[in-house]
Amino acid sequence: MIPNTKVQIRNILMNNPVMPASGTFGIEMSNLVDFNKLGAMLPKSITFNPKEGNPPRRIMETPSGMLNAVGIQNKGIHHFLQHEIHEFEKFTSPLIISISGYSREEFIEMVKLLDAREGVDGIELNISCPNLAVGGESFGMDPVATYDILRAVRRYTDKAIIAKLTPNVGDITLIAKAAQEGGADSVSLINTVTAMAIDIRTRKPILGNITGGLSGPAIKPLAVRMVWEVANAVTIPVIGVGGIMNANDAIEFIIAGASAVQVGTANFVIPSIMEDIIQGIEKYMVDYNFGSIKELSGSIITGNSVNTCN
Amino acid sequence: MKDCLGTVISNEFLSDRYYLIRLKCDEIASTIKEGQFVLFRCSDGNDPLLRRPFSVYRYFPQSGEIEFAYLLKGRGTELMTRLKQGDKVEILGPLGNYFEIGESTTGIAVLGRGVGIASVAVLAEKAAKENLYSLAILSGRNPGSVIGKDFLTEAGCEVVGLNDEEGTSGIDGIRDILTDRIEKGLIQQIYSCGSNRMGKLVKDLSIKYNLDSYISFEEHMACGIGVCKGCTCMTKDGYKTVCHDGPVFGIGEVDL
Repeated sequence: MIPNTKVQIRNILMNNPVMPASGTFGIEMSNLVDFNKLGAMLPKSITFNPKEGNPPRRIMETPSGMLNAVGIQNKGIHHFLQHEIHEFEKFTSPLIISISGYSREEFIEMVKLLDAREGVDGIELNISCPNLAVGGESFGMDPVATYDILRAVRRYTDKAIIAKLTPNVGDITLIAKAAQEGGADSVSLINTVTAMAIDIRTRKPILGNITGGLSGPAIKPLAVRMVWEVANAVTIPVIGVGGIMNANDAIEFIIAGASAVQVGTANFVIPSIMEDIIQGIEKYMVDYNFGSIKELSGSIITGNSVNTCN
Repeated sequence: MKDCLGTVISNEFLSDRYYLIRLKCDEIASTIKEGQFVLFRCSDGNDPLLRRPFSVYRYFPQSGEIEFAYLLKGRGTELMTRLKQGDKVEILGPLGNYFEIGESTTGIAVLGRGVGIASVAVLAEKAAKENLYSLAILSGRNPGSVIGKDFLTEAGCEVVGLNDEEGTSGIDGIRDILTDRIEKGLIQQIYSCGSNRMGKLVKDLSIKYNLDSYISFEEHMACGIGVCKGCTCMTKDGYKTVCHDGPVFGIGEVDL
């Protein structure tokens, strides 16, 4: 029997649970991976106004991971809607647009524009950027700010809204619950882990921005733990992301409670990897006799004792 | 651009910390151009995680073979030195833009420093083979790090090898050689890679003598195809990606 790998998040109907993570997918990849085979497409985050991005150096490799401080270099939402989005609309897979704002007003304006665009199926809110109105702490670090921003944008669209959560918080379940109460249809986690590196010869930070975000296999166990916690705390679908390099990693997130996964850094290493992951998940479902993603999602067997101290 | 499997033909120590790997890969050898690069996957595992960029050093479309000169620098290149004849390697390419020689040009100079020689040598060779005057100024920290002298001499280039150890690599000496050849009317274009100091010199001379010159940048990269915006340099039009908008930029376009 062919397993049912379909996943639905509000109006987004995905043939399989695999989509790219924001910042790691672009039209340049269209001759390296078949966009029509993906669960969804998710281009790089856009902002309301154009952003120049951070000064170099922007990336560095770390053991089993990478640090980045790109700074969402993009030409702004108007340029994106006029000159870029149509390239993605040619493909059949659902299109999710990731947006990042520096104020409530910016988020609202962008959601209105995306709501009006037929080719857009869903909107991912990158709420890890600083909220300038409250002195730079990101929306996603505070449950009240998270609830407020979700409430604010929910009024302007019936399309699926996914809140992308930062791991740089004390209790991520509080943020996830706030996003759900504010009206999010799904939460995706984790965004990159704030990190830094120093050149000991010059004693200067290696990244131009001083700090950056850690991604890749190095953060996977942290991400699996957070997905498991959040999946137990909310009723909306959870999208697992963090260091997925192959199908086994993706399956681990789904067993922990994810309904779908995002593949990020791995796209830089093997541009066609998402196709392999889709096939690998299907094979696992056949081998282990799972009829649907719903059955597999959250099928972790923990027993009774969970010791909170290591 | 394609993600291809190459087969190692040979992989040998050159000199100093430099190695030369030769691969059979028809798809890339038949499409790559001077100044373009590939991303090399050095390990099947997660450490090192990212692919490494290498410029084409020489290519042979007839036999489908391609050479990369690389500098032993860290974990990725250390693993590369262990590759043996017959091993398979994943290479994504050809990537980036490339060097072009103007139609009215009768002579060029290339300036390469260290592993930057690997980016410009192939252009000097091409110019010489097309019967243009071709000057290759190759510089390194010691005599062993000045690679490419032999095959460029054989190809008919005028080769000037300079190094820090013997005190021959000073920028004034390079300026004198270039000024002499420019004033004799031998060169109309200069191409540079591997040194900011040499890049600035090329910029100065190109403004002074109205030359159409180019610089190729080396940067740490992740995706190599313009998606991640990780490898940018500042240009007069803002940040541009080295991997996709470059690696070759007009000398007047970039901040040096």
